[in-house]
Amino acid sequence: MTRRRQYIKATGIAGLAGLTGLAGCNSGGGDGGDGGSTTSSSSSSSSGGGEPVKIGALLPLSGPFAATGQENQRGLKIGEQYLDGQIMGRDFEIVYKDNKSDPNASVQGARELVEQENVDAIIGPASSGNSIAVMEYIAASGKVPLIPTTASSTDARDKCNPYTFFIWPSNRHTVPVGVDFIQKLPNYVDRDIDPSKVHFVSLDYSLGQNNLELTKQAMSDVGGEVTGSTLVPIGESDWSSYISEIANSDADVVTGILTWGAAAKLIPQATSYGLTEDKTMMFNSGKPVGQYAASTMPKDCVGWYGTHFYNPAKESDINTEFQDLYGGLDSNLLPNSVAGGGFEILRSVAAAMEAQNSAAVDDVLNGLSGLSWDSIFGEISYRESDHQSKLDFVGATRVASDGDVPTFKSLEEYPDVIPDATCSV
Amino acid sequence: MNVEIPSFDIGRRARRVLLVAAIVVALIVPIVSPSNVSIATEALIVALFALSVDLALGYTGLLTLAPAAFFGLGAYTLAKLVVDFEQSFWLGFPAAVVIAALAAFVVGYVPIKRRIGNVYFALFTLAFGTVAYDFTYVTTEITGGSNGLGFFVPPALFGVNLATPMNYYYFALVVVGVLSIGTYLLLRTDYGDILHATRQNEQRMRYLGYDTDRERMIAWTFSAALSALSGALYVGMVGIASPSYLSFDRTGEVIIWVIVGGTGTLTGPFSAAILLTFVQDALSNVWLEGYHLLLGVLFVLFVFLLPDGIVGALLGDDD
Repeated sequence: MTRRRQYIKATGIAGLAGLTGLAGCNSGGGDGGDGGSTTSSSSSSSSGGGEPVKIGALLPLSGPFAATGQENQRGLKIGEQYLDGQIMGRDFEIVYKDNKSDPNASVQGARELVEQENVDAIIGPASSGNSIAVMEYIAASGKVPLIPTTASSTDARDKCNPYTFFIWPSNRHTVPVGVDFIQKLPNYVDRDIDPSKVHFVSLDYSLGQNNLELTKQAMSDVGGEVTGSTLVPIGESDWSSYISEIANSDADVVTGILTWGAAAKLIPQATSYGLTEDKTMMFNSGKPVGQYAASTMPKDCVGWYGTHFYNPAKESDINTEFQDLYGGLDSNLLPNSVAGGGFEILRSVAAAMEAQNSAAVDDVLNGLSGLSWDSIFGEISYRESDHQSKLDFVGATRVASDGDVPTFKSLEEYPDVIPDATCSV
Repeated sequence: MNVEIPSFDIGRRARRVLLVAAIVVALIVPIVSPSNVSIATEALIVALFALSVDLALGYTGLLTLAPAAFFGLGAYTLAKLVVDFEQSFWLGFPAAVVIAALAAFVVGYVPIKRRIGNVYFALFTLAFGTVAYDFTYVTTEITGGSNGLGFFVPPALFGVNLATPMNYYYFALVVVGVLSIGTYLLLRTDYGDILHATRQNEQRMRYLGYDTDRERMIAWTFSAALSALSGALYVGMVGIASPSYLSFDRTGEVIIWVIVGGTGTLTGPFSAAILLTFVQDALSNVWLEGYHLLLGVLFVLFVFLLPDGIVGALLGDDD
């Protein structure tokens, strides 16, 4: 059965209020499987008038961030189904480019999307390094709306430009929330722990290095300290020596930030090592409590803690619909924040175009700036001054359940998190 | 069992026609197909890169496993000067040549001058390539780490804005053309004959009084400098240097281009690099993994069926 939705229906003066109205129809939403191809297009069941809208998706479909890119791609495919292949009553097409998880290939891909494909906007890339490279190209030459799927380091966020918008939280979102949650962990952990000392773990690149610096500052602000850090090289598969280093730290609490790839290495190996019996594991990225861990390592992630902006149990029409659509995909994962990021970015671009009734660059930028809409993450808005998003967070854990998937248990709520602006567009 | 190796000898006249056709196509690509100008620029630059590797492998028999390291060295040298030291873009090219030549001398001196064997030369270059690649990742303060070093745009040259893809294409066309023709002419001189002869029978050349170590060292250093120049030219187009420039994938890729095109032919690796870059671009839209699979298949096929490569087979015994 196909759906046709009237997407954005109302605009405000300073911002846009997005509504997700349903005007149902028919059809058949395909399987949405990604099939590994890098270029695909959306087609609607009813052909829209006018020139098709073209959106570039610059994603890491190979390389170290491939898992993120492939999940972003699933989110975009759900978005295509959700929008029934149309924006402003016109067909739209998504042109996928693999950025190979590399800054050079990211700029090349962005250049091709702008110069060869003439896209109206670019979604992606993922990761700070790749995003910074593309942001600088877009600001200097590309000049189309750009919404990275992730890019959490302050390096990326301090380079505001009129073309770039962020839906994904930055380290400045996650670290204060994470440090506050750590201070409250003694209320939830069934043994005595000292939350004033933490050991930091991450991959050794800009995301982790930057998160470490912010965590040191935030811990210092609450009278605590980071007693040590373990930064693991990208691509490392055997974490045993690093886990041993973590186990020998003085801190009761281990914190940090993980990519999916890093979580897939650390969580099972650390659990197997028995690290969770001595240390309380709480990560700012939310990976241990997120849907990816619950899908792929359901037993190992039980008892880990994290802060997250996606509560899979959140009751809202859009979250229910997202999860239903995700269930129709050929995926062995649960509906998750990374797919949700792709889904919501596409919805926001569509919302901006619908509100302005135009895909022209300036109109889309105007539509995105200040846009606020009801998303699977709760209400989000792009702040006008620096295009950062305001998000709701929870401090959570995973507890064993009767079923195959451990239950997501929200412990602390942090509504409307947005750091102070550090730059202006 | 004997495998018959095919040979498709074509005459000089046909070659001249092909050359003229290639020049015409190169000149009109941005006009007739502006959407392909970026990929055409990349193809030209990597063609120069392939040519530089052929100079070492095809003319001196030195199997370098670090061409990507020199390509990256050139790219990072230019990017570092422009981004961190705020120096002239144009200074990046001679700096890339000097640094690459010095590095090549250091890496190649022992295995070439001490004549400890080509296997050790390959191992020395492998070690250098690995160290250089890791260096870009771990020295974030110097190289930007995984974030890369950039972004910048090339400046104007004689009033022509090189930041536009079409202008940079013609700039690259001129540079690649001059360097390629220059290399070709160099190898048509007695020096080229000495290299050829050294590759075929080094001992006899030494009996004849030639300092073959010196000639090979010069060729190796020149090859590395040319690789670095192509890297510098490439980073000018992209605007950012990143660790992938130095990856072993890139090394494997360029070696296969050289084998497919024909080692020791210059035009073969040059043409194969252009052709396979366009194939990669086309395949990336339909089958992500297809390109690397294709390279692997081509490598096996050419090693067994066409060891002289396409151009080697086309030239037959004529050259």
